[in-house]
Amino acid sequence: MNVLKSTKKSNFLSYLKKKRQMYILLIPGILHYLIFRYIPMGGIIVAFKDYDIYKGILKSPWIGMENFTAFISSPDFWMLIKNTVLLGTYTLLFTFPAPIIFAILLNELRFKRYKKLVQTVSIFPAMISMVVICSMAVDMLSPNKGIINAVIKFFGGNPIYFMAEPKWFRTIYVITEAWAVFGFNAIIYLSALTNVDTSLYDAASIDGCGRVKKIIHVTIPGILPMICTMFILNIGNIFKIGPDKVILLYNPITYPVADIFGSFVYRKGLVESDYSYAAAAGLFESVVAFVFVITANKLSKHFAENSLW
Amino acid sequence: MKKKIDTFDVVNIILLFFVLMIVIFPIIYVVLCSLSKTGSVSFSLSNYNLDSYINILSSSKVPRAFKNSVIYTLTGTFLGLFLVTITAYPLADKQLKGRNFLLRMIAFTMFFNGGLIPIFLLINSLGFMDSIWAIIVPWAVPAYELMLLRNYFESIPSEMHEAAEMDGASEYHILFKIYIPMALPMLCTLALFFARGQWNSYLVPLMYLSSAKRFPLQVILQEMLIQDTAKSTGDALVGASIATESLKNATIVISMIPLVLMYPLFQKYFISGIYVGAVKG
Repeated sequence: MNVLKSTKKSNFLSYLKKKRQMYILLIPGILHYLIFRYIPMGGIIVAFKDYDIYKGILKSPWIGMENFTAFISSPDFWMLIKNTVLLGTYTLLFTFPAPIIFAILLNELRFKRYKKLVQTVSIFPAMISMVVICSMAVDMLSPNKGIINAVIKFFGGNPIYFMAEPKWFRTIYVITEAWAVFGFNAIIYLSALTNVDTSLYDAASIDGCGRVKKIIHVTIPGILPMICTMFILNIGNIFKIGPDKVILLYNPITYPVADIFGSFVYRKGLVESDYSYAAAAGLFESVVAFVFVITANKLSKHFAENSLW
Repeated sequence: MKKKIDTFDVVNIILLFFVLMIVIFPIIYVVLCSLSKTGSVSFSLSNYNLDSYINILSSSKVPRAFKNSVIYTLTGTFLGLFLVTITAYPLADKQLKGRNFLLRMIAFTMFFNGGLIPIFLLINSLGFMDSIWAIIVPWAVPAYELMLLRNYFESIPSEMHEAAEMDGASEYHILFKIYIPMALPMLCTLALFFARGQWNSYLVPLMYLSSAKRFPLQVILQEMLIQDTAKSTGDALVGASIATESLKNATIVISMIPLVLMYPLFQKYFISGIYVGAVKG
């Protein structure tokens, strides 16, 4: 028994020695994950404490679920759920079909150079920063100098204070988002389109299908599995909507429709320094987002199996 | 299937022309605004001059921010590439004990994280605040990029590795002399992802940097944007010698110059990178 154990041990040691270099290479990366991803997960306990900067996380007093009950019973809570889900859903509904339609149109284009030009230009917004995109939007929508209001005034209308009217916030958010990502997101569909069986098109021509009918009966079914997978994965991200762009576009007047979990946590925590309360809101968001993503992944696995027959 | 232009083609060409215009228009608008004296676009040529650029380049704020952005981007990109490469390589070794556990540990962070506050408090307690450390080190090994590269390494035939091992090459040697040269297209894609992310990031520097002399361009732009938004919500209408919009848009144009210069590379490697990602998905 002892002999067996010692050979096992020496086997393990010789294995370690053989693979030593591999494990050495892993050290910085794994340390990085432990320190910057797993320690913060442990740091979530701050949500159950009354955080005091001078005492640090560990020495601050425990207060149990107090932050959570305060958060969930506050009027902010339902507003945040509503805003986050609505903004995520609108973004999905409008930014999801755009790249598909664009990819199909581009795929149908028969002039190589024009096609190349359109694709080249369409990817450019993906490189521009969110700050710049939002800044462009604010400029164009400006009530006194922006071009949109210049057009409205030209036709005799009154200038609209787009950034100051809550009803415009989601529209502005979704349009700028769609502008930024449609060309980049189309790449994946364009690659899927190259895999559609060309003999199906010939067969459809023989059956007397026109171009539009071919798109409906050959092209779209050909990329449908990809569309479904992407759609399900995107549903998973509805709750994961980031605070970056909201923080750039919102202001106190539009908070009631614009504030989402991400921006709320940022403002409560980093601007108002209410760390424990913000961490509780953040943990709630992380958990719900996790459930969304995991469910979507399960669905996509299930669905992909069904769709690949 | 010889070319015969039908109605569909005509409609398609026009539709895509609209798409083209929708993308290009805001960019042209920014350039025109940056050159305009009043901060708005007009048709008279006398409305345009280079004052805003001269003003910006002669002050220290924007050139310094530009320099900071370059430093952060280069450091972030090289550190990220290095760390992702040395971590992805052992993880691509299917025989490595503990590999599955480590992969799961890394993948889990893509689905769940501690949130903004715990990592903020951690970075604060590490003493990284208001330094380049805070905006680069905690984000240097992103899981998605790591997995992309690991997949790429796995697709390299293991015979290459075995043959080199027979010749007595060390793992370091195999990685740097065989694997890295073979994965060069993928590494270029990752480099561009990193560079784009770092150049464009504003929230992280905004959160972790406090002295103005360390701000990157995006934070300067964000400040200008906030001022503008305040104006267009009707809070303040201040007159200045050069319209703030012109200054802001000139700064935007300057911030986009490196992107335009790198664009041919972006276009090439973005597309190939997405293809690789798609195959994996």
